[in-house]
Amino acid sequence: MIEKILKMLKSIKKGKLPSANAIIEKHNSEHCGDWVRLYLKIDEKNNRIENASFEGDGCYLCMVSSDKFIKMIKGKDIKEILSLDEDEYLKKIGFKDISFQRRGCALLSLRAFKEYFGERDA
Amino acid sequence: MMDVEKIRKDFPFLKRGIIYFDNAASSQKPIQVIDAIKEFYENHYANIHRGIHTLSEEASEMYEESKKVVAKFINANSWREIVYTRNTTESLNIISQMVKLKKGDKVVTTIMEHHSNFLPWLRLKHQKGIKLEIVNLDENQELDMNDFEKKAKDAKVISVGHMSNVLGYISNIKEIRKIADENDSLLVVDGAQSVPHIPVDVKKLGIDFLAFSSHKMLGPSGIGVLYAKEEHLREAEPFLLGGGMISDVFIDSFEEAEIPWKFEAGTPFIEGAIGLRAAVEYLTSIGMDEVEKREKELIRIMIDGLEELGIEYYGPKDLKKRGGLVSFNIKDLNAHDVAEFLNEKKIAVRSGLHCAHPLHRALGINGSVRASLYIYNTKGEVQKFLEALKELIKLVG
Repeated sequence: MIEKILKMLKSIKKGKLPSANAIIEKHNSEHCGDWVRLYLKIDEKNNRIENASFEGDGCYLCMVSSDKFIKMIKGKDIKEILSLDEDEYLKKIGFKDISFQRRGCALLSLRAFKEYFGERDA
Repeated sequence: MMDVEKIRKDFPFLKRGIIYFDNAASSQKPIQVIDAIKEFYENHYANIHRGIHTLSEEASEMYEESKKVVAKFINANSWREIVYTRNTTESLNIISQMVKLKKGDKVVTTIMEHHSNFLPWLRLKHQKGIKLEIVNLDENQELDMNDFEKKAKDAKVISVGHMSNVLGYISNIKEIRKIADENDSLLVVDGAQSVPHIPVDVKKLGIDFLAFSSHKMLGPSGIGVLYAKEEHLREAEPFLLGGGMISDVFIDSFEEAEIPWKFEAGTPFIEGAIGLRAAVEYLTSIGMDEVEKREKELIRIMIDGLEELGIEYYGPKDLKKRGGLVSFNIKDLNAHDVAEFLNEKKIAVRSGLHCAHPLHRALGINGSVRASLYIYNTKGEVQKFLEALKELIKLVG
């Protein structure tokens, strides 16, 4: 298992996105220290994510899921991302079997995104 | 000398084959504690101080007896100085209200505190305008006593953790008492990490208020202790009103019950008190000096091992100033991932910020892995832990 985790961690790409027009930051409410900052370049006309990146620190579940989230949302319609069900999302990124306590880790980026756009739309 | 193998037979959880190094978060329970609660439920259960029937008499006596045992354990003057709460956090919150501070009064605490000895004072700063001073660490990651002395000038209250739940550092309470005396300050001590692991004598140390939890010292969770000198308890106002805390009630006034009952409104956690008593008796039968000695011996092996592996750990290098826990980080690995790896090896540790965010910020880290020991841990377990870390470092490369 640890070999798999270390391999996943090595493949992660973190960094800022200079062209971003939205930056979202969220800390895990479990006060475990995990946090992410999502950089989004939004095509405002079509409500589409043109480009994205992330920075953050946290457990592998949090970092790997954030990396997968960034890859997943590029080119996608914001509404489409907002409609993602949490269970469906975890299945898509390969974390459907994680324990109840750790769901928050793997959902941090999706929840950050949903909170931001949910609030903005409201 | 402490017979660890005999002790281990008393802890049913060991059948799971887990190496339990998360004792600073909560300890496991010996069969004596489990049996005491079971026996109470089966044979003596009733509400206390509420009835003249036999069961209520027995339960009331057992509840009070628990306070006598706890009072003796910390060398309080009387069982009347023992108030039962839910935990250390609740005790500290109540103490922050008991000391009756007003605008401009100074409270001194330290950067290494658990949030429970920080937030109640921070709230008073914002609500009442008290002055809050935070003592820093020195270059050895011990409390900077020069800074302490300076900041404590004219303090009304000094509130300090006896043992840091992250650094393992044991505060020099005798020295802090001297500083308190120079300034006529009340001394509040968070004993959550010390009372379960080292001898704590409130008289010798000159402690005005002491807070600690049952669940970290082999007892049940949900019951904690607030010790205060009798004079402080007599002066303080009750914080919860209702049944059990009055001597009489009229339609427009009431008279308070004697201490400690005026601080225990409502039916308390009776079986918790029974369990706590059994836990204290268990620890007393071993002897707190022995407990401390044993943990120091194990932590020495653990820290020597960490140093050998080149692992960064926090708190003083001088082991005389440390208790039985150590927090560390491994290179670029996140603390939670290290804990996950250890969990696969059936080793339970804590990872994260350990409810001490200001301290982690001061140390410049976003979390740490903490291994914390207790009486049932063995040298063999420490060796297995060090071997696991060695393997992890090799894998990370």
